[in-house]
Amino acid sequence: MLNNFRAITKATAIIIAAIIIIAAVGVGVYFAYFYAPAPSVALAEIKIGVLVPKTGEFSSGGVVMENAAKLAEKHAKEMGYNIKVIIRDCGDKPETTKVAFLELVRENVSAIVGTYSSPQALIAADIANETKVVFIASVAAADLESKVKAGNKYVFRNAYNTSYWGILAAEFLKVTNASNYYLVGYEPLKTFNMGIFSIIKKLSNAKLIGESWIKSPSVSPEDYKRVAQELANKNIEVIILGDPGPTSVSFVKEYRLAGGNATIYSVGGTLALPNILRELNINGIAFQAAALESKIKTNLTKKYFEDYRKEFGAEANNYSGILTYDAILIVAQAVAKKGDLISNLEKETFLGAAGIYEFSKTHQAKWGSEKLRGTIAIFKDGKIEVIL
Amino acid sequence: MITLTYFFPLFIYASLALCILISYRAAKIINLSLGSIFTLGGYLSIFSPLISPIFGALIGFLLHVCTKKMDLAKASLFSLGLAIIIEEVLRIIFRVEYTLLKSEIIVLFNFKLILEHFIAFLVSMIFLVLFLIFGLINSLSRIKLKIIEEDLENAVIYGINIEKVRVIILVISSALFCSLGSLYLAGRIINPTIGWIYLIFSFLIATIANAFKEKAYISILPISFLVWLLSLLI
Repeated sequence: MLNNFRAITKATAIIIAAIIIIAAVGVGVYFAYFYAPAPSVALAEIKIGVLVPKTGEFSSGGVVMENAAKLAEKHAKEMGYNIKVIIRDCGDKPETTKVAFLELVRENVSAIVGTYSSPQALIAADIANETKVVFIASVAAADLESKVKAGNKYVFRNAYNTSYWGILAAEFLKVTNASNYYLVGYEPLKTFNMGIFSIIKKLSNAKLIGESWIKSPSVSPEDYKRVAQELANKNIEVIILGDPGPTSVSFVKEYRLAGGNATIYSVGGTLALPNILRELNINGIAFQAAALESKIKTNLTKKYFEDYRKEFGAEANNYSGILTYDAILIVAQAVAKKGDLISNLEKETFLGAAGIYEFSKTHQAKWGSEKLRGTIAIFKDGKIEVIL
Repeated sequence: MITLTYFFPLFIYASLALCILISYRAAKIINLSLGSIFTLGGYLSIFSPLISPIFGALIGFLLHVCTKKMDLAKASLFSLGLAIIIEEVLRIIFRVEYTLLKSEIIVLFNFKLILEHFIAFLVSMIFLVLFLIFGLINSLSRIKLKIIEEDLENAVIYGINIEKVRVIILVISSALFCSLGSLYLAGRIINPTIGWIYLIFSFLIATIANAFKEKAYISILPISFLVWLLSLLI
């Protein structure tokens, strides 16, 4: 009798086995993509230097970078990483960046992240090579890849490179089926803008109507008015705006006041901040961001935006802020792993609020890959709609 | 198509340059705090644009009190220090990435305009016209101003109260800068350093105008026009 007794049938056994397999795969995927493993043993304190433009031309950007760095320190500690963030003012010039970088080196930091402009990132990359301290550029789009190709193994970048800005703009033109577009550059960022524009011209099938440049405010403070009024009379579907700074807001206002109705695609920055867009309340402004609160990339995305709001009482920045935050977490994760920091950064993957980071051979974060993509959205009827 | 808004900066920069020029020639100070006072006006407009002239006037008065015994170089340096203090205070108080100032849009002769910019344009126009009238009428005040500009010692000998003239100039110029800042920065994204751009441009106009010696004040508007035109053409 006992031999004929079976606790479960064959079918039930298959179902249970299937559930176990599915659960195992699910847990595997969760750990691989969304979970930052906390180090099992208590680690020695990891000092991470952060270069922030607290003074000078980029000081408004410095505010969010500093806040994001403090938030990253807090979150990293919650994740079990014993890190200490040391913030130094890098000003707006390469010379001030050099002084701040060397100060951080004297503090025995494991790595340095941050800086804002391209000239600052380039000098920081050179000093990183001299002092043999790893530097991760978290904002600038300067050509750092050629430094790596030339043998500087101490420089990495988790921010976009110029090409990716162009790729995103071209994708926007494709997704929206735009038949034509107009390029508006910003002269103080000419190299950066020209790099983006050349990629768009190469990748997009839409017709290029023309190209205009807004002069630096120190040469002609109201030059955006000239360009805006000139364009308002043209039949344009999409304007690609290369200025990520405050002038872009004045341009958009002036363009709409002059009667222009084209969709404006901003490369990001000021016009990518949801609170600014809501206050402006102008329809048809598209933008790219490294991440948006409404589009979850990892378990840190929402946490970053929510905690930033709680801690600092303001909307979190979705480019320079989030990428500085991610750069600190990348260093924390890389230092905590066995082996040396550079090989870890080269070989491993790292969790951030904007996605899962992996670095290419030229030490550039693989933006555009499945796990790490920029987000494109548009402001319409008082709401932000994610397009891509 | 050239619209009315195109000409706003022309008059606004001219009135700002006039303040700089008269501060230099009669109050004997290169007032470098005016850029930060302009920015302060923008930030004060968050609360109410009406308080801007009061704050501007107070800072102008403070500057006078602190620098009245200094020579031109020391007074100018002090004003730079004051500018940095204002900038840093703004940075500490407004610790956000960007501040977008509110603005109203009006339609005038079928053109959409930002109301605050239009008021700034009117204020500048009135200031320039009043100063032109002051310059054309052969009043005692005008003669006093001319004597102060030419020789301070002579002015004292003639019994002119140079301190009174100085305080009036610094208070009016600071109040005007602060008021125009609160109006002309409306609708823009501002940060604590934004005023420098406006100050530098106005300085350029004032410096060129100063080369015309006795005709300096009268030549401010045409120079402002030429500089504005040049900035569009370069």
